[in-house]
Amino acid sequence: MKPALRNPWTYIAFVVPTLLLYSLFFVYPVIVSFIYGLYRWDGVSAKAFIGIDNFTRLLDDATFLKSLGNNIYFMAFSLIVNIPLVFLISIAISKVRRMRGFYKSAVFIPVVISTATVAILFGVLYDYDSGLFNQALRAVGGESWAREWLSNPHLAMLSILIANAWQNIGFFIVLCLAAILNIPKEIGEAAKIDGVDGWNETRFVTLPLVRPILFVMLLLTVSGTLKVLDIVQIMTNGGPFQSTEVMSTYMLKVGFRSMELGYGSAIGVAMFIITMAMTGILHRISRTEEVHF
Amino acid sequence: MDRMLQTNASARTGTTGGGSGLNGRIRRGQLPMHLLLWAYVIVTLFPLVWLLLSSFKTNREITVNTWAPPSRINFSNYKAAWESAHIGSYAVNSLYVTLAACLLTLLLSSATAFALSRMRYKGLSKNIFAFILIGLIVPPSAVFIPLYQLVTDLHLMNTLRSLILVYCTYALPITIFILHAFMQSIPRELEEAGIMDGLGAAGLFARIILPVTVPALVTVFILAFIGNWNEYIFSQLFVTTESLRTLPTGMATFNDGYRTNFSSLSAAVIISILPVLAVYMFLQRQIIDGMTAGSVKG
Amino acid sequence: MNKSLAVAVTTLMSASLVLSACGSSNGNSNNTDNANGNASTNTTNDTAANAPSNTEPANEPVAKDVTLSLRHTQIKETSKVRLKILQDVVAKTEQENPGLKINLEGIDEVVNRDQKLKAEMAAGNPPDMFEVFGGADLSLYVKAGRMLDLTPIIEELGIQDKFASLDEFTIDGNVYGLPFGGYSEGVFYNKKMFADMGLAPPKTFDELLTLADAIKAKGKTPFALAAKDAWVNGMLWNTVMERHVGIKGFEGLVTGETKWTDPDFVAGFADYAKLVDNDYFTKGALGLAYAEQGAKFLKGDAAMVFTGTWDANRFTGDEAGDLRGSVGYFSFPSIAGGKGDQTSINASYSNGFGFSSNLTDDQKAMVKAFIKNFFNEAIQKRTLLEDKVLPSMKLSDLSGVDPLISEVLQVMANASSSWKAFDAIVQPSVGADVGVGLQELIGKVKKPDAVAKQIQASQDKANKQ
Repeated sequence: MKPALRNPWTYIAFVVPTLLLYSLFFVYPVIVSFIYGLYRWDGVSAKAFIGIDNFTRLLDDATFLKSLGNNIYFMAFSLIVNIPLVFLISIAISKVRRMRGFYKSAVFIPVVISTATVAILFGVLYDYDSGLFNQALRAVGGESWAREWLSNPHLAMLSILIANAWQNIGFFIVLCLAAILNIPKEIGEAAKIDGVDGWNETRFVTLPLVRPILFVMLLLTVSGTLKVLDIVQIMTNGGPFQSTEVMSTYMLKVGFRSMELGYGSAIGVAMFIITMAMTGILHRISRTEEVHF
Repeated sequence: MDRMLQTNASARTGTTGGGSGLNGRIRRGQLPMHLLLWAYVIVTLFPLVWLLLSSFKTNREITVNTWAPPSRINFSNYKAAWESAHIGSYAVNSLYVTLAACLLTLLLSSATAFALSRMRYKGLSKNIFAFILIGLIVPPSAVFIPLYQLVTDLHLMNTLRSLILVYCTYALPITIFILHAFMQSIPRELEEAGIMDGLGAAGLFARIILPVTVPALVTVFILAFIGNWNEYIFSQLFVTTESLRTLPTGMATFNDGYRTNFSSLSAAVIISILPVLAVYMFLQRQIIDGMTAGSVKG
Repeated sequence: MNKSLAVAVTTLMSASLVLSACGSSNGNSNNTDNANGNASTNTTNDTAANAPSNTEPANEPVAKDVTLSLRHTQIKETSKVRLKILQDVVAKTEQENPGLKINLEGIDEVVNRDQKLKAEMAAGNPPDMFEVFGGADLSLYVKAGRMLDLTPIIEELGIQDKFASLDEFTIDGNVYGLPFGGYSEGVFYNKKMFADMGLAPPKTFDELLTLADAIKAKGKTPFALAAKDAWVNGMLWNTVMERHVGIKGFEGLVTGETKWTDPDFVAGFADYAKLVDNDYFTKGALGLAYAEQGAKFLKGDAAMVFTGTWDANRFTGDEAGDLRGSVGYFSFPSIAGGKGDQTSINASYSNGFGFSSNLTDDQKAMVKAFIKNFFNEAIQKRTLLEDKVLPSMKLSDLSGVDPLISEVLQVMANASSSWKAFDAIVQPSVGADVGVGLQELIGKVKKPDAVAKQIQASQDKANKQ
């Protein structure tokens, strides 16, 4: 092997500072939080050790299971709707010559806005009386088409997902676009010579070459949607009647408002294990596919 | 491995017959693309245009005529936002914390991603990488209390350093993850030349790999920048002194959850996104385009 | 519990007041810099904190240097007026006590209550003086031995009997906090709309139903409601329920003497459901944030809104537009056959200041000076006039008060008794489940008896622990 890339001192110098910082501010608090999960504790008074009671309680907690279901809905929606849209828009931008810079900037703008602002903005858009969504629907189909977006338990989650997609897709597009534009132009032109064009080029040339970034996007989507907090918290805070409760909003409510920090920490640990399992599966799938390729 | 071979093969055939049939300002085939993109851009930008318009309206106008354009352009909201949200002084703190955390993140994560993706300690690297990736899946909200106690114990409470270190740490996993993915896809051939020239690992990193990774660096820089720029809860938890506050505290002034001062809020939001947009526009024009063009020509 | 949060965060100020406050503080409300009369001595908070002896060299006092930290949550634009009052009191106290330095630190209300203060309490290093909620939060901190017993201080100052109520800060006969304001809950109504439709405030629940039908027939919403946050729905429901079961009924839930499934409880849920099923509330209420209900009311879409008196400030401000001056207030009507006190009102004084038990004797002396300057009639009156917060202390002089506020005080004076909200009585987890149940009623997905049953199940579980 090449000795240049086997220099242990460089390796240590490059890796250890990161690991130190990461262990101190990340791993250590996580471990402490794991330990809290084994106690009954209100956050202030003395803790009472109860072993894994908090964890067995999770299995019977209907609200927790409902929250998990909502996280999975969130994940499925993002995988099925957001990711293909990201590819579509990125490929479209990569194929145009004129105004590419404009498109690239325009799609990115929502990303720079804080989630709190996005939530407020969409709250206005979703308003029953004056919201834009309902005004458009009324213009098309009359009063009966208007919907109670955030207050109908069947639509509230979807409403959040739309707002979330609006905010987040831009970042994925930039990521994906960077990968596509990084493909040497010669490849595309070669494909054209070989008579491959349009969607076939996309299908057989572009997509395979951006596979690493696809995996990045999938992993970010899975982990991001399982720990999603702020947009749900600000838009509905889990309501109406817990129909949009996700694991992290439930965790915060239990841990800080109901003063059961121990149980709240156990929810955090459960989230961690679930996410770990899902990303593990994803990793497995991506690896088996790589072999086929 | 297979993928790399295929890439090289196509690239080779490509070079033999480059530059075939391109002409016209908008190629006919591109029209549907433009239509699609315009539709998407309009949907994307509409709420923001509305936000911009609202920043010139009074609260009463917003309540009564939500979607109408402002009756007249007035900048009083901007004035109010600037003054009551302390945007001037908070922005300085925000800029310092954000930039310091971003640069530290980039420095640490690019070095680590390089070591893990390209240096020859495969087994160890794989484990360290997996260890760091755990960071992607832990919700920060789960560690508020332990982290608070840690920052107190380290005597970092009420300093901007606490924010820089915490922001940096929480940006590391995703940054390393993205950089690792990019660095992995860099062809070995690039390194070979450097090794021939007698470069060591650090040299290869600085002279060969880092320049090629710039597009990814820009991406993660922007990502970290936005996250730090908008972060609120940690900054409330760790900083109590008025003179050390960051920008989102100023934004929150107008949104108390019980009554939102929408006109001032929209002005404040517009002010707060300008620096981020400027950074983005600057970087994407200067670097992404330049690099992709450069790498094709080179 | 959540309700008191509302008061804390908000105590909403009218835009005009905010503007006038701006004027008096040069448009700059940099929290601490303005607060201090002797501004020349301190440039920023932190330098002063590190060097407490940094007082004016010219008249260096012989007194000891004492530093106190004061945590408040008045960081929003809407709480500028209250902050200014606090800053003035701090400045006055510092002036009267040479060597004293009080460092104000403003933190986001929710972050402070849920995480920061809790973490500090757990670690044993809370700020010297801080805003704290009476009830569950306070008792947690008292149990952990973190709160200063104020009983001797208020006795020395002779103010122990001046407060409207210290119930929520009293544990085992000792006082651990002092409320700086209070609220009651009732119905605000659009006088103009009532006059146009020839309506008068109702005296009974049946009259209310007739009235609401009349409003609906004219194409307006009877009650503005924003039901996204459970505590908002809890307000009107709480009063309906109290009319049915009485405050004793609520108190019995925790001991098991009464059950949510008792007939009078179910009747309370049913009456609330009646209001929902008759479509008296804002459409899409479940998706609206609290602020929206006031907006709908002020916009003229709805004739009434049931809310706390903290909203009076907003309803007398600029945002009210043409409605300014024509908003009235009445107590919720009586319900025939109910077990509760039919002319009682929900009133609470749970929002106050607490002090750390870690203080030195010198610091305690300064805390006493602060309490003397903050908890007195002059400051209470000023808070009522400028901030429209109901005083937590008894006032002898009520001149110059806004007409709507007078009406509010009148209604409170006429109330036969007052009681605290249900979520200050039942366990937090039950309170949360009541919130869910009410949303289910509002969403029309469950019947009153099913909701009652589900909440009782949660009550059983909580009582067992």
